[in-house]
Amino acid sequence: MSTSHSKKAQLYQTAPEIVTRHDLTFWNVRAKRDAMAQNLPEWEELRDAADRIKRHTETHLDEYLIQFEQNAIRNGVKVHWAEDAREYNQIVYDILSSHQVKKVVKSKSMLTEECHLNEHLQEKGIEVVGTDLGERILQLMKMAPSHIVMPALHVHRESIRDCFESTIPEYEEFKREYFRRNPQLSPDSTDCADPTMLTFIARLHLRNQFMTADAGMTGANFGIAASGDVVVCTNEGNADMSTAIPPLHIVSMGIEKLIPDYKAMAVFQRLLARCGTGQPTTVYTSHFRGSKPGGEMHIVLVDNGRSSILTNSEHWQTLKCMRCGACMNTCPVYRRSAGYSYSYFIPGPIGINLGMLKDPKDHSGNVSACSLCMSCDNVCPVKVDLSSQIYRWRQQLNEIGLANPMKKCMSDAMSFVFNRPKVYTSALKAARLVNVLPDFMVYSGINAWGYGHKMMVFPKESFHSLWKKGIENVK
Amino acid sequence: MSSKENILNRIRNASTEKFEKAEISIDAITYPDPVTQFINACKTVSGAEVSFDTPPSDDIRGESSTVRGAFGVAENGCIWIPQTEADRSYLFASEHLDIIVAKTDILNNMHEAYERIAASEEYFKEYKFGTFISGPSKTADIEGALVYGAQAARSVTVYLT
Repeated sequence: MSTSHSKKAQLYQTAPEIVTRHDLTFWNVRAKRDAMAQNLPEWEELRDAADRIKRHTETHLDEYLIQFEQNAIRNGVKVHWAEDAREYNQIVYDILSSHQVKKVVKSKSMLTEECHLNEHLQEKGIEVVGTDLGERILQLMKMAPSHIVMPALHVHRESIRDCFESTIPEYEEFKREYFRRNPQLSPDSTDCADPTMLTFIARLHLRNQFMTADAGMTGANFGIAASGDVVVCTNEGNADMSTAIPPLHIVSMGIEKLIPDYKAMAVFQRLLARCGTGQPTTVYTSHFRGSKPGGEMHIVLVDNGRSSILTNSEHWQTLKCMRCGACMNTCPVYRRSAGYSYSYFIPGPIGINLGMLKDPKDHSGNVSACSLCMSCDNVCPVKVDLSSQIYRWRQQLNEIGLANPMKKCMSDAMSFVFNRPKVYTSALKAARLVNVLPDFMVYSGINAWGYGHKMMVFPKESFHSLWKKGIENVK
Repeated sequence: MSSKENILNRIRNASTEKFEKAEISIDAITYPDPVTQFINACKTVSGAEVSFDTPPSDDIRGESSTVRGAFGVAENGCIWIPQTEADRSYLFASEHLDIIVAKTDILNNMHEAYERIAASEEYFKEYKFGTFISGPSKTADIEGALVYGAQAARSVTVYLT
């Protein structure tokens, strides 16, 4: 009866200390988010405004896309439109190859993950360097992200040290530089898995990449229609390093990222970091309105299924999502099962929904990963009705032929029993037999209710018969 | 038809209910003394030093660089830095950044900040870039441990004049 999520989650549970560490790490982020929300009297006003802005923008996306494009062109930016991942990858490759680009430095973008851009460019001989520290760690370890904001938080420091040692050729040189700058530390007694030291080594490694890259790529947290600005928010400054040094800048932007104007921008700037990491702001909130002097800036507007989501009356509101990650941090199932238990590259409540919209056949195994506690609905800054949407997917599984056959058979059997009072009463009387059955039968694979928890003890008399007796007594 | 037309047509044909543009007016937080709040935000959330000494000249470029900020924001320690010269890499590539901002240019919150940017003619005029910076570059990508100085400036001093 297991879904793909529950099978993978079960494997994850084999190391309970890792589960606890993961759970606490993300619960901590959730707690920081709460502190931010509680210290701002206008918090609910902001969420309400964000919801209304997004509802309006997404349902007038055609107008805002045209306005955004016009302003971007006026600012000297070249705008491209891609219907799907294939066209997007081709456009980016064409821009890069027409500039004879050999190496690209890139800040984190879930859209490039969605379209598998890195693999595409690397196959064509262009080196792609992810510059967000978490993203770079995963790239060097050849792993996929496990979270959309903190992609490598599940990797332990010792593994990162081992990875740097074996993949960064200048590792020893950078280590010596670290001790030269920190003379108070002794190389013999310092733990080389210390996050400060590892960050320093990554800093020197990435500096070399920025200096030798021919182009920089960023995603977009927001696109402002009224001005044509692309806004990118980071804590590390890697999007700024990626775009301040190489002459060519390519922005990859999903069409749903648009907001109308600066007034709306203020609302989202205030919500994004508070919800995502529990900070009142990201360190950098950068507005790119055009290229550097003598450089070139391109924006690729990518649909890849988004305009079809807009036609789905039950699920279009997923387009309001600004990828802050708050729904994952709060989700009890995500925290205890981690990103790789989900089949879609975006995990957690929003990922369950986006995966189903992408391809229900591939991703229906995730809709079980929800206890319907609705915590995600309560933290979502743009009020996406995440858990209700997951509930609706479950109701639709039968229609789209993806219901679990065993569950379906059981619910058909239950409906047979519940519709026949006599059968029901006899079954209830017989149920007490379970009490005296040996464990090997009760906890065999056939009884799904006996898995993972102890079976109830059936009482001598059912509520049904007690109730009947009660009525008799009153009479 | 071009991809652009196909995308726009699909959006236009979506029968989803259209929501009207709502007037946004947030009763946002203000502070009795925004400068004190700004200093607190710089020191605590941003992790920047705050100095009241005479600031260094704003044309220093190198390991340590200096830049003049247009205004600061009390709620989160952000300082708006419009690009003012052809090469902006010093803002991020320097090991240390000194940012000069006037006490009279501290706003309460981001709503006031974006209102000022939208009303101004001078930002983005010559160079098409501007950024809010709040303290040194940071990361918590390794096990959630906060480390200063990921890719950009490792330390920031805010000079209040």
